[in-house]
Amino acid sequence: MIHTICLIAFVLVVVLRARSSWRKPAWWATAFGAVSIATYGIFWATPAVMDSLLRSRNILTLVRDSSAVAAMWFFHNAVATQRHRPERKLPLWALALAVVAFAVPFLLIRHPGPTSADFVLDRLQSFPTWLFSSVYISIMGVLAASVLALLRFEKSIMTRLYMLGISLMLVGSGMEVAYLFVAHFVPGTTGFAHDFYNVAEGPFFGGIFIGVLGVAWVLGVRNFWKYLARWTLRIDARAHDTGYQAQILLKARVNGWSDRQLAMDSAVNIRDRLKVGAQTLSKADDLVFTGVERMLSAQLQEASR
Amino acid sequence: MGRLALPPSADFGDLSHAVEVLYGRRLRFKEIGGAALHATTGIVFDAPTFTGIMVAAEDSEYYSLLSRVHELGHLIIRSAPDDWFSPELPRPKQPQQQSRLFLRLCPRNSTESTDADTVQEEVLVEELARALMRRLRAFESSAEEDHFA
Repeated sequence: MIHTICLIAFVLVVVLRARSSWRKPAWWATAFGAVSIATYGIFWATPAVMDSLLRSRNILTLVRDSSAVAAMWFFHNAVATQRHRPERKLPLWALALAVVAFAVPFLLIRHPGPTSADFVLDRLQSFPTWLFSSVYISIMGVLAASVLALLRFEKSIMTRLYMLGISLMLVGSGMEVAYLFVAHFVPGTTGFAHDFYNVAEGPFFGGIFIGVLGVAWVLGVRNFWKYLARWTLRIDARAHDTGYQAQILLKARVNGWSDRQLAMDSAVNIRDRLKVGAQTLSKADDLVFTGVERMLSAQLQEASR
Repeated sequence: MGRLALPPSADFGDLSHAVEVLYGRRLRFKEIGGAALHATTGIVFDAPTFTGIMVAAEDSEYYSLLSRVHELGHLIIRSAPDDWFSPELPRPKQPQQQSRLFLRLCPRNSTESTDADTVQEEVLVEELARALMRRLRAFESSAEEDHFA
């Protein structure tokens, strides 16, 4: 169930952002995240069906884990860029090294087929299986911890969602490492291995879902300001001739104004005219305009936090 | 604007400090209630020991901030070195310090003044003020949106 919810959230974010953001690391993070979660099955394409295309040797598990690490790697670099910390960006070779670090033990697993949802559990007594799983989840944990360190001084809603999501992922990673260690090294823990095989799934996938909500939140905020900016410009344009709107939109595009900046510019023009009685607003427009002004003022409080 | 050397993600305090250094006088800000300013958005004046900027207390915060930035713009125009201007963008003619025009009371975006230099300065200062507002942390392009939306 949690896989399906995460997959829907990922697919929505990937599709909605594809045209405008496919060049950005954050988009690639969600795209790889979607690939990773999709390996848990999409409608008729169950994991068994997908793995059969890869010769039924549980290679799908490797695809899932590699995609997840790639997603976290891109996400880490997106956060580093957003935090103006380019020196913290991870090189591409580090991603390749990370994938090789768990792919090699995976390839050393004897008899990796047939396809099984309990692939790791069934082979947990073999050292390569333990090593493969532990290295993978440890890399995810280290990347999560590094993202948390980058975000620790930020207090926006997006960042809070990211921090909550990544913290849960970190907890899930820690639980999984502990589980793998006990199940592999402590004798007589077969029952424990079966009972707690999925114990880390809740926090881990819950964390992923909350993280994707963070991206969706920013997307929503951006579209909200886009709408407000167009509305404010329309009201501003009432005091000008017909070409004004197009002219201002062109000016905004050429100068790289954000929608928030455009809204502020138009709101100031409107308030200037209201102040000297050169423009009047209907009750409904006045209500919306008051809301726009409050939100513009709230930007100042947010920035001073 | 770039010559003000504001730090990245500057706030109003950074801008005010930069203008204080440029103008060479202490700046003091005051909000006046009771609509005493009428349609005037702000006043800048030189007192013996400081330079004061007054804005209307009733205005929204964002609008009030722009009014302050606008008045700072007048101080920038007054005190910026000559090489900040060019033949294409000359410094508007500045009134004598004892002149009534030294206290500028022309509302933003207004053409009610018949003094061409005042109108030219208002237009230039308003453009500068809005550019500075876009440069402030509160209204600069959101890095969050740049990277995640």
